[in-house]
Amino acid sequence: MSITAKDLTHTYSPGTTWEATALKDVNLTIDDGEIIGLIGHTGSGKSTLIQHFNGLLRPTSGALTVQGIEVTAHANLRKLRQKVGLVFQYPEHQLFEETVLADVAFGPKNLGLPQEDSLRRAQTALAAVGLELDQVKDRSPFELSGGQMRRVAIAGVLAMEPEVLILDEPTAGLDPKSRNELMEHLRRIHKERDLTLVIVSHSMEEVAAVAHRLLVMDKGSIFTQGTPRQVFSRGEELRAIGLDVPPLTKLMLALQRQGVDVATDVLNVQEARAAIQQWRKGENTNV
Amino acid sequence: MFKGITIGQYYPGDSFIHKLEPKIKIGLITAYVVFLFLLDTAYGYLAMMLLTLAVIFIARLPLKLLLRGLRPLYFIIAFTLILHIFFTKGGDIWLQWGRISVHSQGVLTGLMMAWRLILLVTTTSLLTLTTSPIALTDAIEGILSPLRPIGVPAHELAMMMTIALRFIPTLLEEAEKIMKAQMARGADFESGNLIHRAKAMIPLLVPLFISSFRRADDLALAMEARCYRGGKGRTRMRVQKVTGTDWLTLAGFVSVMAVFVWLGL
Repeated sequence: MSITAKDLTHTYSPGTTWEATALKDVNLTIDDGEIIGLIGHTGSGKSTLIQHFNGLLRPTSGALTVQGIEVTAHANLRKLRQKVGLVFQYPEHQLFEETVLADVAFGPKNLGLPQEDSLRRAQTALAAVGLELDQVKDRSPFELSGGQMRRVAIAGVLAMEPEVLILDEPTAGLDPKSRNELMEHLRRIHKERDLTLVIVSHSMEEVAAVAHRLLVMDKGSIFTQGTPRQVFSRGEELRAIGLDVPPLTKLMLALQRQGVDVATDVLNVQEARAAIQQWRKGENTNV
Repeated sequence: MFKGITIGQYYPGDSFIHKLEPKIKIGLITAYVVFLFLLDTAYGYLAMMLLTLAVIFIARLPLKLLLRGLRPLYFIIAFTLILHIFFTKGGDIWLQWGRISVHSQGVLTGLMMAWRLILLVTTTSLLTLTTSPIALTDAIEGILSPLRPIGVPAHELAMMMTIALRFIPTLLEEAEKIMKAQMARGADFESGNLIHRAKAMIPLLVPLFISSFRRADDLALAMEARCYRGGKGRTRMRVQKVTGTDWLTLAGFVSVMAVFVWLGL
């Protein structure tokens, strides 16, 4: 098991006027090699939760174990952060080195690897996110396009060769093409490196395409979890907590409201068509 | 790491002190500070302390907040105290140890100087604690504007201050975010010697610089897009007016100070 949380609670600035409970009794398990889509509205506690996974925040109460390491004040943070790579929102804002290669090698260097190994890892990571090594490695990261900068930043975390990779809104602010490319790269990296992947998003549609399982958060707790199919079938409840369901789910829900008895847990157009055809067949035999 | 900063912090409230006209408030505090430097008896300091405590009480500020603001000054206060105890001579000799001696006058002066520092910082922080940054910069603009004919850019200075104050929390938040991101990449900001630590700041400072410039650029553009052309002919949404209460407070303060002088504090 990769990550287990038991009654995980986190309170910011306890004992002051600014006290705020961001997480409340979160229980979850994430298995090795899973792709998890972590979904929730702004302020639902997603970002707070993932910062616990590599020890940037520690539970106020409750227990959290990540890759066999108990996350407490005394945890070996260096080891934990090596095992768990965390890519923040807009990670391109953290770039600082003179060249792309040096920036990506920052992480491995901090792990105490010799220069050669760090550079080799950096090159592998750049290739993994689909950047042409010869074209980018000696350029300043600030000359690149937004999509490229994002990928360099992700490579920077990937170069630490984590066992768990967590990405906070990896596609925010990218154009549709870079968005699809990035998700495709992530899917491939997951397959090749056999890592556990947690993707945070507020777009159901985007993560549903890659995730094995979805965790939906609301007001600091897990609202519901399950396969994308199971979660989508609860479309009405999701809309009640302010999450937008994918257009297809919306269509099926609308049909159902009109008295058309179709399945609402469809994932793609083919399935939607099959569901509608099946309903039409049923209608015909009734007539 | 950045949580302890209280300089320039505003503690919202609607007390009498909060409602005082900011220009008057600045004047009063300036007068207070001048008086603090003119005083030279222990009774005078005691009286000033009572005055400060009264203001804190009326403004309903938590004492803990003010003490926290003093924290960065502990060292300087202790340093002043020790320096005076050992090097100011006069009065009775209380301790003699070889060539080092402690005189009564030294202890007294040391305590008074330390006390003066504490009062100075506490009282001046009362200004920012009870006045919103916007009201404060408006007041500064008001005070400076008579100097405009001789080339003091009153409005521009006030605008710069407003923007700077406005962006302090944003920059702190940004710094914390970048710091966390670099920590996730194994960066270590907390251990090592001074040189090592200074070097460790580079991955924090470079991105912070870049984002501040980007922000400044965006802000300038957004302001121009909304037709901002400097202070000329600009009117205000909230006009600060000196009311009868303000004049009464001023009169009250002057009479209290006059009593202090009369008593020879």
